[in-house]
Amino acid sequence: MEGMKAVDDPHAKVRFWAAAAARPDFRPPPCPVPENLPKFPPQRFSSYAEMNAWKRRYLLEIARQGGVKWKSSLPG
Amino acid sequence: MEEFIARLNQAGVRYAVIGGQAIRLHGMPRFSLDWDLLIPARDAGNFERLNAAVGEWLEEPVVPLGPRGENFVQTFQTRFGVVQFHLAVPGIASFDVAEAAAVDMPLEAGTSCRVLSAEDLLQSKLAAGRSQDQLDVEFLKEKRRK
Repeated sequence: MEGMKAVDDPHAKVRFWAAAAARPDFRPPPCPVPENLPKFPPQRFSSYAEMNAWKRRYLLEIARQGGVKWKSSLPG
Repeated sequence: MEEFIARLNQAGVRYAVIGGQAIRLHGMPRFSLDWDLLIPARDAGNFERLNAAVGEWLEEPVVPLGPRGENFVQTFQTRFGVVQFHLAVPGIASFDVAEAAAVDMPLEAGTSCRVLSAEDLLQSKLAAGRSQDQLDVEFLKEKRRK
């Protein structure tokens, strides 16, 4: 749209990421790793409904402990 | 997580990374609490290799899909973070087909990682139909146009 800056366009970042991913020198963006996640035993689910219900409870537990700390996934 | 993936590779485990980490590896900056891995639902040899390779980091073995869909997602807390094994994914007809189209991508320290193709990721997101996947879908569709 005329007079619109790229930063005003909510789709601009998507186009930017897709263009960057198509370059030959592309490296995946790093993802911070969560620390101090609440402990839980192995879980087995028979449906997404079951899994999502457990995940909601787990996220509430994370919220109750004040969130998680994140650390860099970059080597070194 | 690189150590975990490297073990899978060395043992010849059949897997493909799906979900948020797969979207990130395809180029979209994104947070994710866990790593989601699609594995064949009933390949006995693969379960054997998988449990031998990374079993020491899981409290219990990963088991095949039950006759009534039991165990179709299995979630473990490991020293590398939360790892979820998916034995089926909506929008993906079979593991064999998804595996053939999957791509190898380097992780941060260079370990090669098998990742679901962008097209299969898109199909899985569309089939899931979740509102929170809207940006992922937009990115994958934009990527398809490149």
